[in-house]
Amino acid sequence: MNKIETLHKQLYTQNKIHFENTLKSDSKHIELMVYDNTYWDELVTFVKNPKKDWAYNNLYPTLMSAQLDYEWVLDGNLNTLITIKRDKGIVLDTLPINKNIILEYYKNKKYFNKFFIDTKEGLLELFTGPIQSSQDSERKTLPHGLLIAGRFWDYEYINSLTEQTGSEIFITNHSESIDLSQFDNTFYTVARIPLKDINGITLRNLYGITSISIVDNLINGYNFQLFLTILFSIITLLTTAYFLYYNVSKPLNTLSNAIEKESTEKLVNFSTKTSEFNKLSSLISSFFEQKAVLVNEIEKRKAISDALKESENRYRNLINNLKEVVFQTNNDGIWTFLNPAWTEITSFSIEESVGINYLDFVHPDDRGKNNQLFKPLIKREKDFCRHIIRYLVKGGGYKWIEVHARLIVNEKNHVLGITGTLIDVHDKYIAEEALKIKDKALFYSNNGVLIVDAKAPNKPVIYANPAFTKITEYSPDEILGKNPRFLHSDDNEQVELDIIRSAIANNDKCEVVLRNYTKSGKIYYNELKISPVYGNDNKVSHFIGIQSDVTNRIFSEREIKKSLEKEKELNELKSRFISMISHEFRTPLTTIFSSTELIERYGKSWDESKTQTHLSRIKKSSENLTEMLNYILNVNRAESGKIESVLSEINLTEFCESIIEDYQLNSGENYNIIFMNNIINKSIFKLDEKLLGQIISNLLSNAIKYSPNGGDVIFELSEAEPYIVIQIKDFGIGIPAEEQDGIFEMFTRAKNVGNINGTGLGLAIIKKTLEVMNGNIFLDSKLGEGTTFTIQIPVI
Amino acid sequence: MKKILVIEDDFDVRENIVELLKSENFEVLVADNGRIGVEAAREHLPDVIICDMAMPELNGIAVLKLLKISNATLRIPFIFLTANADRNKVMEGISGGAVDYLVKPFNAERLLSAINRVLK
Repeated sequence: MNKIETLHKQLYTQNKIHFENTLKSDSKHIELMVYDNTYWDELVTFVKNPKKDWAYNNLYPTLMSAQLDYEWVLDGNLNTLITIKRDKGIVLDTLPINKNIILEYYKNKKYFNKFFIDTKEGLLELFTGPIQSSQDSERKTLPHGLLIAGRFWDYEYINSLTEQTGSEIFITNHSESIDLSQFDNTFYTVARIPLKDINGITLRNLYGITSISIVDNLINGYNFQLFLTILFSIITLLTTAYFLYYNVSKPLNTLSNAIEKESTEKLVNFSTKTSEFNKLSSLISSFFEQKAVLVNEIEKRKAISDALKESENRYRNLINNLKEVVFQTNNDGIWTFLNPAWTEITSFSIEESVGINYLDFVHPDDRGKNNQLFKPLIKREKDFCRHIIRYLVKGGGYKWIEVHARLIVNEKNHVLGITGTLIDVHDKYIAEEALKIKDKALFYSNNGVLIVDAKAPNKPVIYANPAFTKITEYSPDEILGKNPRFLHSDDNEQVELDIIRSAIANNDKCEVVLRNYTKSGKIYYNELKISPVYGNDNKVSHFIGIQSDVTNRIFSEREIKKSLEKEKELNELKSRFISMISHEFRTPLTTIFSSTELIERYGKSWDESKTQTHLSRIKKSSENLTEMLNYILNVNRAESGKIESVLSEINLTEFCESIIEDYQLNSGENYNIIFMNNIINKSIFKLDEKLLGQIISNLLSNAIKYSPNGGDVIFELSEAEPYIVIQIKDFGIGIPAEEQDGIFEMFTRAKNVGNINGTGLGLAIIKKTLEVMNGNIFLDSKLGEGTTFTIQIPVI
Repeated sequence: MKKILVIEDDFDVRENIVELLKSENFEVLVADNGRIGVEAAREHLPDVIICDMAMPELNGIAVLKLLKISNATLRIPFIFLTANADRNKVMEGISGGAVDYLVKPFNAERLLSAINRVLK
């Protein structure tokens, strides 16, 4: 093989590689530009808030200097924000590619793309890159948008390519071939580069033809390089030789000369030379030492740097995974560093927060407070500060944050900024506030509240509020640690206690009213509500007892109940009374009426006696009626307390005798009224005749009435200073023991009266009458055996 | 002559009724309490019974009940006298089987027409 052919072969490969590399580097600079420019905070700001002025002032110059023809800026949804064109500035040209395909790449995180498209204006090469903040060196976050740069492969560009590569450039459509006839009789190499579209399909073929004449230049070029290398080596060699001669061989020579000549001078010189030699050898050894040290150093340094890198990684991981925010600000309060916990807590991304003053993120109401709290730190009075304030949350709202901050200080003791941590204490803070409020509510409640530990043996009280002490008179010290059962003292029979015990055993709630006793032994009615409280283990941890003193209510209820019952009773009695009165009226009326009618109908044929009989009947019945009326009036007077006492001197014995006679006459043979007079001396007393007469009559009438089978009635009159005493005893039906106390009440009749008529008022009227007379009445009776009434009236 | 039994505990009221009925040519039997009245009814089987409601021991309703359980007396027309115009009481009497009633004080005409109506 001849030389040129060999050379040709070598250079063919080199040529091809060179051609490709040139092309690559040519587009590389644009790629780099796109890479750099998309890593640009101001562009991020532009995407968020597109301002045409900024775009013109910042994007247009880069377009021109990078020799681009187009630049598009798209937002996060791939909508075109602005289009810039060479020589034209801001234009409205639309992006000439299918947005959906770019979207596909975008979604799959393929942000950097390079492809060709055919346009009306020619072949356009496009470069895409994601727009991210400079903080995001790893390109980890979602881009804010897309930057697309475009370059036309026009005549001008192809020419420049030709110059750069030193080859003839041809661009053909995919299936076309090129005409290489012009290169006949020369040696040449062909390199082919496909130009692909967005789908990876070859749109065009780029051919680079390099001919030999150019290769000659290349060889020369290589020779030149070779020449330079040799030259340099020679220089190095000479320098080393010189060094060696001067420092090694020259002293060596001097030394050998000295040894030959053996003069003291020379010995001195020799020792000098030796020292020089020593110098040299120490120089050489130190040189080697230093080299070893250097190598060591380098290795050490590398090891340290590796270790540093590793630990840096570890710390970075740690900080990024912390739940707490780690922050740094500069001297002006601008965030310079925030870890991902910041976004977790506030929902603001790191990008939108870094570069902003931290106060913007503090709740407006807390900003002043925050500055106050930071003052001692800024003034360097304190090393660090700690406080709780509100930070804003993105989208509205806030969180309570615990701030720990320290100054960052350099070696010269200048303040560089502030660093520290932020901890989310919101839930805890809110819970504490709520707890405080509830605590207050408990404290000021009028209801007594006890909390009992359900898990401790004997279920002791662990909390009692002030109202409890107020109700029960027991201070908290006297209750804490004890079971509250002492509150019901020895009043153990209450059924409510069973209800409580059962509820507590079943972890149920209950509501009872029971009798409790204060510390001083006073009874009160406790309306008690008990509820179980469950702990996190789903077991009952405590019981809460809420008490209120309902004594007043209970008593009132009882009073009301009693009055209602009494009222009901009274009403019943009243209606009975009224029907009884009605009967008592109608009976004499019937007689009057019928007697009158008989006289009218048949009176003409009667004899005198018959007429008299009827007239008497009429009279008697009228008297009965009158008596009844008076009776009712008495009842009224007695009830309204209007009985008046009119005293006159009467012969008591005679007075009683006459009344007894009357009753004996009227009651007939079946009854025997016995008068026992125990008054020895004169029986003149000052008494109210009318009232006394009513009393005695009523008692006698009762004695007879309630001895339905007849029998004796004993009337005993005595004197026992200062009273006169009258006792009326019958052997009739008697009064049941349990009704004897109430027998003097209005409308009250004993249950054993059966069919015997009566108003239930007689005894009540007697009692009231006696009150007026300052007298007393006593009752002694046994059911079925009889009754004795004893009255006492004081006399002067 | 028709026989009328008068059961009434009040002397005067009873006497006046008896006199009225005798003057109207009725044969009159009397009883001053319910028990005697029931016995008399069973024994003499009157044509009409006039009975007071409110009596001790055995009142008018009880007397009526007793009369109604005996075959002999259950068909004897029963008229009751009452001092109580209470509707419930009256209904008690009527539902017990009484054919008529009179509220005291009643006039003679009223009593006589009640009796005559029943005897037809």
